[in-house]
Amino acid sequence: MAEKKMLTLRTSDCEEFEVEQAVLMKSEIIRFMIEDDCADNVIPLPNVNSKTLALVIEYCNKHVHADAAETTSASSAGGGGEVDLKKWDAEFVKVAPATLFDLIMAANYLDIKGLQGLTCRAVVDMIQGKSPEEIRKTFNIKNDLTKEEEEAIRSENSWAFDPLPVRSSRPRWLLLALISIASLLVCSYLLI
Amino acid sequence: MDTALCDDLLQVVFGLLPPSAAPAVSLVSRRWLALLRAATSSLSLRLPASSAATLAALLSHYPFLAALTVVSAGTPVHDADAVLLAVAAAPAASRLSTLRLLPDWAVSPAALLTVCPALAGLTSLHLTAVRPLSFRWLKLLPRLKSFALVNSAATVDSAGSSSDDADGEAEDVAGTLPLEKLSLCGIRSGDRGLGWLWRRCGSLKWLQLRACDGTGDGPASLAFAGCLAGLLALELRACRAVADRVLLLAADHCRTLTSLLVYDGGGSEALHRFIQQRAAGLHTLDLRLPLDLHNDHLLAIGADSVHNATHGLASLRLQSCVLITGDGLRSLARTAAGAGIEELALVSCDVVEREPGLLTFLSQSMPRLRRLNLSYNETLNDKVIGAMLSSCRNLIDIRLRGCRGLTGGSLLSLLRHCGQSLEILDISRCPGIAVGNVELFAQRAARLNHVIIEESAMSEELKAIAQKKGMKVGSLPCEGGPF
Repeated sequence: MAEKKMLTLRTSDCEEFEVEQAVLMKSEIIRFMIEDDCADNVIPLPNVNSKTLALVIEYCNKHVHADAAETTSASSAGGGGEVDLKKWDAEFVKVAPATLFDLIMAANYLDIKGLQGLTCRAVVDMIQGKSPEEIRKTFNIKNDLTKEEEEAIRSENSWAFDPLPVRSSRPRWLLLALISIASLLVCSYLLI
Repeated sequence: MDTALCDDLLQVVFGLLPPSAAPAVSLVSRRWLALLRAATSSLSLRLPASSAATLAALLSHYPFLAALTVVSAGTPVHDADAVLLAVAAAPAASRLSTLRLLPDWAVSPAALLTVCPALAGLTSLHLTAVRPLSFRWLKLLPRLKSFALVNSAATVDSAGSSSDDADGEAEDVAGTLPLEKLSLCGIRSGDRGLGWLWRRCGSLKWLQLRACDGTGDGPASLAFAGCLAGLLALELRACRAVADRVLLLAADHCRTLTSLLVYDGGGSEALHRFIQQRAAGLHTLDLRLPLDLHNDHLLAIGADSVHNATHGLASLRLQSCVLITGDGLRSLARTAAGAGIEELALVSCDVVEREPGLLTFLSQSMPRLRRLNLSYNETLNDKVIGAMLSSCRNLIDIRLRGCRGLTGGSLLSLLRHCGQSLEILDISRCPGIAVGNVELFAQRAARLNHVIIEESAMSEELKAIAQKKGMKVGSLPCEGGPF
């Protein structure tokens, strides 16, 4: 096997990470730089701090190697690897909200689609099913709505509904059959 | 930390939230409220009475709406037009692509003529009623591809009141409407103005008639046939009075039809003739005809394949068809048409319950079967299911809703024979299937991604398995129409 190409990333707090080039292909930004041969020895990432970049690299490593493993074992049990990766992803996003936000911004800045989707959905899970007060507490948000504004919003919310139409799925053949039979009986009676 | 995520990314998150989360999010802070509204592209509203002004104020908060549904109960007559005008005055009006306006009273053609220029981007429109009946305003919606109208019988139309009566010949050379999907409900043979519409529907691909006893402009309007030539899909629901005529016209004109649905009303003879002339081209046939479907129709479906080796029927759905027998289904299954079937639905079909060996024969005769729906066959039992499944190696979707006679034995058979292929399982309203059997099945089925089951029948263990495997578990959302 040829020697692996390495790249060095420099974070906003001036730490440097040496990473396999193949692992960084997960980032569309870096992939374009590599393919256009624009990548210098050191790639500065002024918007990403070292703690966040360590997590990003961990994610990319896991997914690049999972992709490789899947290709190798395409003919064997296909379900196992995918399930394991989902479990790993679920554990990966169990971090504090501030860290999660940093990951979202890093994924957005580096254009790593899978990580963007994963982290945004994690925030959705932190919001879904919670009350406004719980959400404020989770994300450390101050309530700047007045009582009147809240009442107006609640009134507006009471008018909204889920757009799924309600439709009966139960067959109605029995009713139709009875109607038809009744019609036949009436006709027979009239003919007598 | 509120400023940690920029507006764009927070809107991405809001866009992923289910609608049920919106009320809580809107009450978090002013910033979240503004971003939530900006991220909202689809809104459904049920308004109180006297609400046009309220609607206008509300819509002013949503500049990026693409889809809007307004339901209004008890609206005064004049307010239906006011609601429509409020929608047209909203900042999102020119962006709207889907509008469903369902006040209980009719909107007027005059109001439609007024608002259509502001709604020129609409591609899908659903109205409860237009009174008096008129369709000329459709010319002002150059991108409209999908239109649904309920011709409400709440008010009686006076004869000749439609402004489309005086339809000059010169105007016939005017262009075809861009409509591809049309759904009409409650049209009567005496309704005026339909001829104008039919003459301009040369681009129709999908037509649905619901509870219609005519196609307008008199009992034998000739204009209707003109819009059938390019149809791909035709649906007739509860149109007993007009189904025969439509089916006969379809038999003569629908050269490209691939899908036919007839529910609750359709003459035997007209359907038979349609099948004889057009069954060869059908991909999907969906029938709910308790007293109008006979073995002759099934024989006709199969017989046609003798003359045409390229028979393409892939989906056959029969619901509550009590007059067909096992012999009819066996005859069909033996033909080339039967061998090509990938989806079979025998919902609430007595024949399945009367002849236990029938399902096994059908599954042996249909090697391409992938989707099977046996819902509401209440006396179906594990033995019959087990015998059938031994011939079903490639099922990916099986629906057994309301099959009250089944127990865990059926799931064991299913796991044994289709455990490696099944993706969708519907066992709602099957009280005889214990939760432990469902858990075992969910654990072992390799490709399962959707289990349809009542909320009350879901155990914590099943939810845990679903979360671990990334499966969807729960009751099925009601299937809406194409609109």
